[in-house]
Order: sequence, then C-alpha cells, then structure tokens
Amino acid sequence: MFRALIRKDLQISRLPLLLASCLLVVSPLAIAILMSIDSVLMKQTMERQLFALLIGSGFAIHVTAQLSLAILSANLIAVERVDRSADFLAYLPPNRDMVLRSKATVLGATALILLLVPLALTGSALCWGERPGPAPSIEMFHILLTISAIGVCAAGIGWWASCTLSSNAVAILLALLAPALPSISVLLICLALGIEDAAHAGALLAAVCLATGTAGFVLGTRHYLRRNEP
Amino acid sequence: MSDMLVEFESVSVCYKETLGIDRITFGLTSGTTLGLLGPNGAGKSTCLKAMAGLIRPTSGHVRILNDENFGVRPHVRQQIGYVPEDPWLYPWMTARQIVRFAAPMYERWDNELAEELISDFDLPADRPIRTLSKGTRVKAALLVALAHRPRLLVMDEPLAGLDPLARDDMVSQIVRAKSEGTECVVISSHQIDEIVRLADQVAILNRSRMVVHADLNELQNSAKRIEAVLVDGCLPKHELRQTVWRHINRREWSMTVYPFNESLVDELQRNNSLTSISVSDLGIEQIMKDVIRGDQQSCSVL
Repeated sequence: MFRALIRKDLQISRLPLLLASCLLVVSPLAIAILMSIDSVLMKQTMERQLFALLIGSGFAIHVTAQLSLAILSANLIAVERVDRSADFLAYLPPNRDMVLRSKATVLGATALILLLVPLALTGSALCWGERPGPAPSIEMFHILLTISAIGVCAAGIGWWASCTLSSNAVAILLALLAPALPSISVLLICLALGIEDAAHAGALLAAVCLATGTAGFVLGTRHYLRRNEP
Repeated sequence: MSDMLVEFESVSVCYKETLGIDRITFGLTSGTTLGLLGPNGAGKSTCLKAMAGLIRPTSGHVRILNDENFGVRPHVRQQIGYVPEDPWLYPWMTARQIVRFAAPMYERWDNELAEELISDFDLPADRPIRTLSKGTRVKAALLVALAHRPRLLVMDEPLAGLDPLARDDMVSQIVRAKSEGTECVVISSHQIDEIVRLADQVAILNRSRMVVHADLNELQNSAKRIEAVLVDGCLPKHELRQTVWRHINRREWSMTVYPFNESLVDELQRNNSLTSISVSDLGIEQIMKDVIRGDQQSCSVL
C-alpha cells in the first residue's frame, strides 16, 4: 500500500522532480561555462581546474537544491486538491498518517539526494583535485549553513501552505517568497541593535529561518491531520 | 458486539455556518439495501460521507463494522466501497492505471473482477480519466468500489447523468455485488424507480433531518392517501395524529397518513362532517413528496 502511495507521489511530483534533475545537470554546466571564460583559472593546472569545477558545482547544486525542495514541498499536497484527486484518495484505505508519511518520504529522499550530490562533489574535489590556495574557511561553512536554513524556511512554509491551501501555485509562490520575511526581519533587527558583524547577522538569519521552517512543517502537518476536508 | 454494519447515533455534522445533518440516528444490519431519498441540500451526501469516513461528525457517533474509528483504520476502510457524486479519481491516470494504483490497497482486490467490470462497463481503459464523460467516470469509480468486494457499498447518486442503458448496467452490477458478498448497500438517488428496484429500506431526509426510515414495502403498504369531501360550510374539526401531509381546497380535504389502518377512516368520519371519503395507495415518489411537504408544513408526526 505504502509503495503504491510513493509511486503515485513521485508521479504527481514529476514536474518539481524534473526541475530538480535539470538543475542538477545545469548547475555544473553553468559553472563549467563560467570557468571556461575565466582566463586566470584556465592557466591553472588540470587538478586545480578540476577542484574549482567540483567545489563550484557542489555549491551551485546546493543553492539550486533549496529552490527545488521548496517547490516540491509546496506542490506535494496541494496539487491533489487542484484536480480533486485528494477526494478520491480520501476514500481509499490509507489514512492521513500514511498519505502524509508517503509525501514526507518523497520530500526527505529528494532532500537526501540533493544534499548528497554536493557532498560527494566536495569529497571528490578534496580527493582528486588540487587545492589552489588555503583551505576553505569557516565562513564558507557558515554561508552553506545559512543557505540550508533559508531552504528549510522555504520548504517549511511551502509544506504548511500545501497542507492548508487548495492551490499549489499559491503554495509555491508563498514558499519562494517565504525567506524574504525572516531576511527583512533580521536586517531590521541588525539595524536596530547595531549589529555590523556579517557572521552574527548570518547566524541570526539561519536561526530565524530554521525556526520558521520547522514551525511551517509542524503546523502544516498538524493542520493536515486535523482538517475535515481531504 | 452489535450485529449492525452501520450505526448512526445522534450524528450531527456542521460545516462552517451550515448544518449538514442534524441528530441522525439509524442502524443497518447485514443484507440491507437502503435507498436514501430527499431534496437537494437535505443532507444525503453529508450522511454518506460520514458513513464512508470522509468527514467526522461534529457530535454523535458513527460506527461502521462495529468500529467507531473506522475512518483511520485501513483494514476497516478496505471493507468499504464508496462512489461519490462527482468522482474525479486521478485525472491523468487511465482506468487501467487506476486499477493498478488501487489494487495493492485492498487485501480482497479481485483482478479478474476488475477486468470483467472494465469490459462490462465498456470502459476505455487506456484513456486518461480527464477525457472521459461524467457517466464513464462514475463507472470507473464503481469499478474501484466493487473490485475489492466490499462488505459495505456506499453510493452517492451514482445514477445521475447516466443514460438508461448505463443505468441498467450499473443497477445489475450492484445487484450482482449483493449476491456475491456485499452485505450492505446504501444508495442515494433521485431516480425513484431504480431505488425501488434496488432497495429494501428507504430513508427520507429533509432539512438535514431523517424524517422517515422504514422498510420499503411496509412504507408503500402503510402510507395511504385519504380524500374526503367536507359538508358545505364545514371545516375539518379533527385531524389524524398519523397525518404526514394535508391540503384543503374548499370542500376537498386530502391527506397522506402513515401508518394507515382502517380505523382511521372511522375516526375521521366520526369526528368530522364529511359527505364522502376514499382511500388510495401511493407510490414511493408521492410518499416522498408528501413527507417533505408535510415536514415543511410542520404537521408531520414522523
């Protein structure tokens, strides 16, 4: 029963998954094109070029993955209300828990793949490439963490919107716009408190985004399990 | 444990500002086919949705197959077949894909029966559901509802919008399901003739309440129309407690009574000035109309 639900959820998510796959291919291609027009980089050794390509691709995939996950999350539930197939699913044997678990599995598995690819690329860069300069600083790690937190915020709000609304388009729009609110809030807080250190501001933004995203997942799930309508 | 397959105990369902059903109580045992009748907006669909576990009652208790939490228990839901009023299924799937999707969800899914139904219903199995007419979509929904051999089959106006041949197909499949293990069928419809063909019990809903729930034959035999003519210048002095609906036009006094017995004619004659009185049978459609009109007149005893 669960496998049938997963198969169906993969099918209803084919557009966001196709987008994620495209971005997975396009991101390294874009990095390669950008590298090919960088004359300084082209003069470096093959190993250094490979390192830059793998690290750059990993970073680009990590950034675009957040976009894909936000769209997927916002689409998963609401899309079945748009074509009223949620009504059909509601009278089949699986209960809401199972339906939601299947959707969460699809989202989680996609997130895992989209996280593992950049990790694998980074690992490969460290194994086979030649580092051109000093080791990547802790700042780089902070940036990646902040990007991930923004992604969680977008996906969480997307999930909540998908659980609540009857339009996947509106849910996707909300998911994409969601990080703006914590970003503006953090900017205003920094201005008000006179925080000038970018690392502090980044950490604050990551914390707010993470909290917003988690709240989105929790409240969305609670609403879905309690609502009367499919 | 009760021998009821379906039990409604003072069940009310409220939507945001409207009442779907109001304190409905009834029970159905194995072997029953209930025809649910009533005007649009009477609460039939809400009642059926509550029965299929699609909506939770605001108050009261619904027990299906002796389980009050049937709505969240897949093994109980596997024994319920539901055909909604306007089935959409997955519009991008074909009928065959719907079968492949639904089959693993039911322990008692019968692939041979599914194939047989596809052929009997003349379903275009390889065309997406969204390209099918409403009637064909209803057939596809009935296919999903029947192919797992449910113990309880709940259908919300499945005959609406179907041509007479398709209606016949549908009715014969429902009859066949009953003979092959479906223990209880609940069907709402405005097609009274089909209800009479299928049901052995009828329930009439009006203004969110169940105003009649009776055995079909018993209702047909016990509800009678009495036509009386009053003596010139006289008004009715005594009305029967069993009056469901009444209408007075000058001297002509018509009433539908339920349950009828011969002594009611004597009671009327004794207590009113009448020149003549006659009793006639009523069809289910007329009984339903009178019950609803009577409920609106608020003179009903039901």
